[in-house]
Amino acid sequence: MPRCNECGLCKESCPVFRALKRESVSPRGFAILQKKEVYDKIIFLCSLCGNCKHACPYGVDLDLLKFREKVLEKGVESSSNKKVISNLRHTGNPYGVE
Amino acid sequence: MNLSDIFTSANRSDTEVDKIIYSRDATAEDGECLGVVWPRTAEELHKLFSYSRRNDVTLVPRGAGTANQGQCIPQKSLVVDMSKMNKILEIGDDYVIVQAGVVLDDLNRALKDKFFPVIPYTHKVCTVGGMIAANAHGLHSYYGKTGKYVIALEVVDGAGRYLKMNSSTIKNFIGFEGTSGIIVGAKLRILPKQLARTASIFKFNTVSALVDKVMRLKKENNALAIEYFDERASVLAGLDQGFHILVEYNDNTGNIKGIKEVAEALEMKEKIRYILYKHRYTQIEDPYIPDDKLAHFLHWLSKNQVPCFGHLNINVLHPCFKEFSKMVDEMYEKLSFYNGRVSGEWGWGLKRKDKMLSADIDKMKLKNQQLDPKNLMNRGKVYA
Repeated sequence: MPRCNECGLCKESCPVFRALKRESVSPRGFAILQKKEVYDKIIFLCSLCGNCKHACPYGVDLDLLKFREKVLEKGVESSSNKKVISNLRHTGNPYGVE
Repeated sequence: MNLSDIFTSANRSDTEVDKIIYSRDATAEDGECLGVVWPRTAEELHKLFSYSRRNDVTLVPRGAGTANQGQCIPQKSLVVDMSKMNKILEIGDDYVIVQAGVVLDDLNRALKDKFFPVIPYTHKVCTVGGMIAANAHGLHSYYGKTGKYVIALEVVDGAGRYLKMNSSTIKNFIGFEGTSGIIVGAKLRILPKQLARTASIFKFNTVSALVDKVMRLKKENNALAIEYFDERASVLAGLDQGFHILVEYNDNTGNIKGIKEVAEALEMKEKIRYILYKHRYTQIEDPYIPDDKLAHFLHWLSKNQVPCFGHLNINVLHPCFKEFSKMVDEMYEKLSFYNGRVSGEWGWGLKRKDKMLSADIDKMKLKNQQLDPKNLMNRGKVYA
């Protein structure tokens, strides 16, 4: 699998980047964090839609789900993420409805 | 005055994550980013320059960050991301008024039966401001560079002056790679969409026969693009062994007709750089070679087994090298011998500023002494 070369041609395919216009939530931004092994909760803004994989002219799959797992392993979590997991464990649904 | 007096918390950041990500662009090398701001108005930019002057903070304007010579890599600078100034303000019969952060493909979609004709290979993401700052070429070199279509510019120059300029002064901001000021918006000339397009692929056994054909095609003046594929690139693009040119016409001259067939043929010219990259040719150059030395240079590249594609109607080639190849320096020497230029398309930025000719450096320095007297704009790039 080729490594992301940071060309940025995937950016506009990302619905989160299109809405926020912030490089740090673009696929290229996440690729840089992966390379530099920066584990930050910003990864939870990724919708995991997979558009970036299809948009990449070099055929790079960033596998952001795996990266998110790694971030979680490092103990980095967003408060909403924590709440959803806790709700799932206690009530079986993400909303915490008994 | 602090940045928090100018920008809301949603439009400024100095988090570690933003600093790491904004310290890089498509060059994939690190700089040093002090923070990022996302201006929404020219007034915010004007205030930003006051802040910048008082605190001696240098500014790096950024569009899509697709420059590949380090143009957007900050050198202890604040990055000014123009992406949020992305409105199309007015569409006229033969012009459009836009903010600098508009993405080219978004603009062309909005123009419907008209279009902005300079379409670089980064068209899906590149911004109009970035294209003007780089004076970008398009995939159809027939249309010329971005600067040809700029009617008026709205800028904040390096001295912090908000200027609305017509054609006589805009040249100080076109192709200046963000060293003279920040482009806020532009009035651009647009053209009716051209529907009749055909293409032809020609095969040659020698580069001299190929160059003869190119010279004839240039005189005919109906080729939108003449794309070159050397022996290696031809095979990788799915063509036969030999040298090829792919010609796109603006009329019915070509023998490949039909929208689908033409689109399939043209896909090759967008894909070849990605195919070569996958074959580990990761360093792509963009030299310009004058007509009379074109055949010599193509022959030299072929003899040295340097894969190459390029745009022959503007004499810009893209020789491709593997990482750390010593051939790159040999190519630079050859270019100098053939009166070529190191950069025909992608500019100088950070990576190649030492390759710029001293006459060009002096010219830019002189202009920027007036426009950016404190050297606050994109410091460390191009000539500084």
